[in-house]
Amino acid sequence: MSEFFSNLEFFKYSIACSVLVALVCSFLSVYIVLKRIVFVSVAVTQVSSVGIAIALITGLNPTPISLFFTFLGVVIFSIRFSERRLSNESRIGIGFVVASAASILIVSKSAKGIHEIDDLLYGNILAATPFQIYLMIGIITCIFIAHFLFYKEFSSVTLDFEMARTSGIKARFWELMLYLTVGAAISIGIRTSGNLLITTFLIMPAVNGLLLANRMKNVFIIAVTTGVISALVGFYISFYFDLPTSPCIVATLFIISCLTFPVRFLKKNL
Amino acid sequence: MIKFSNVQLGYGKRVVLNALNFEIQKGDFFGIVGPNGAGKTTLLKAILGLLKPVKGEINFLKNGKGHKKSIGYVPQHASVDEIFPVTTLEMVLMGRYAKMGIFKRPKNRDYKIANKMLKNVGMKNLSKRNYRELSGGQKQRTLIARAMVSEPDILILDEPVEGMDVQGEIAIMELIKVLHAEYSLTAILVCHDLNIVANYVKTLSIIHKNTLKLGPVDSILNEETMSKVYGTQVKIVNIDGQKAIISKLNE
Repeated sequence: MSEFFSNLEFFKYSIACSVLVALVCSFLSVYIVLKRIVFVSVAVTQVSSVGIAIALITGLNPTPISLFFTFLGVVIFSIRFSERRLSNESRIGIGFVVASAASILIVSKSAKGIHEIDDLLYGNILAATPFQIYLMIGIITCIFIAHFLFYKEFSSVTLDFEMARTSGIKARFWELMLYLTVGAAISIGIRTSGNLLITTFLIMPAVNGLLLANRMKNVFIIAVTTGVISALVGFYISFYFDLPTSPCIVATLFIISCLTFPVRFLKKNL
Repeated sequence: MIKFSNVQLGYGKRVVLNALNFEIQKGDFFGIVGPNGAGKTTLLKAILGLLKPVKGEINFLKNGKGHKKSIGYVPQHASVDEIFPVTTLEMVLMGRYAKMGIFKRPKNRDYKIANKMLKNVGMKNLSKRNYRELSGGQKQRTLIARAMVSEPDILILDEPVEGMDVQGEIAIMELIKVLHAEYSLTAILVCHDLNIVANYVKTLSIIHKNTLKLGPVDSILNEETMSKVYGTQVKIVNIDGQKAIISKLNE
């Protein structure tokens, strides 16, 4: 433990980055799981990776390119087509595999080749710079402010889209805004955390919250708490056993998720 | 109140309903029936503004002039996702969100209206219960309360007694009847159960062959029309002043 703390200066930006990604993605995971758009978030994360792949081979700043691709993905996946022969799941699935293939093809000809594919999947925590952290704090603050101000609108379109539309709420607009906040969260974290970790944070924390809580506020609290704890514990395990960071955080979150089942059982039966 | 002028409804090139020319009067209790796939949901979506007419116009009128629609929509309770962790009161409050306006939070007045409506639908004692823990009938009452708290002129109900037992059906329909009278509402009901519709609505509309036949329930509900619409022999009997519609089994 002392060795970890003595190296804290070296890791501080990486830890801050993991915690910030955990904080915002765990919060948004509640909407993603409640709205049953897990596959949309997975596909958008993959589309965001295309932006990172382009940034890797061109040497450009990855955040704006990733933001552009993520918002493009968000807009495409949020359109509700009336075509009966093509289900939304197929459309999202096609988007996912095409984006995966495109990002691999883009980086395959780069000098580092396979290492950059690893970067896409697991991220590069060393890419966390002070500027990156300040940018993340700024964007995350905007996301939380938007969710505080527009909770009514976001919860309405998440619970019952048609009721929201008929009651006079501009449901399509607010749904797009909700997706854009998810897109922004993905974009700011994808370079450092990779799509494996981002996808995990966009799903699993909400599941913990929904299993243990009966009120929205408590679901958000449990989701964010388990997400942030997993990021910290997973980072420590990764350091201690010299293992890749993202899989360690995912494993920690999975263990926490498994523990929610006995906790729920005890809560229901005691 | 709602005027259909030469309206055609459909999806892409497929026409579902054609040449719709009718008016739903203020205070009416309007029932929409028809066989499966006839276009009941399509018509409902058009009234709700969720589907634009391919041709023609749908106008919401007040004192003969164009008017912004004020609709309370009650979907089928099975269509509201139970994964959402909200109490009955929170679910009802959601019906006020559009009225509150942007940046606003529910105030005392909103809670007061929501609680009053929960009392009116007989759900006051369950206001703190989780919505997902309610029975089918209780969920339907909650959704009716949610639609009513927006103080609508028109209440639209999509299959309000779907999946309920006879006692539950009667309780819900009696509640709708009371609310219709008490709040001077225009109520529009889509229901596949002819027995329910026949005994509660004032005006009955039947979707048949891509168009609508409508009129006062007593004039339109006859064995000849019903047999033609449903493609089977239908018998209408009167039991203690209530209509019972029976279809004859094919031999």
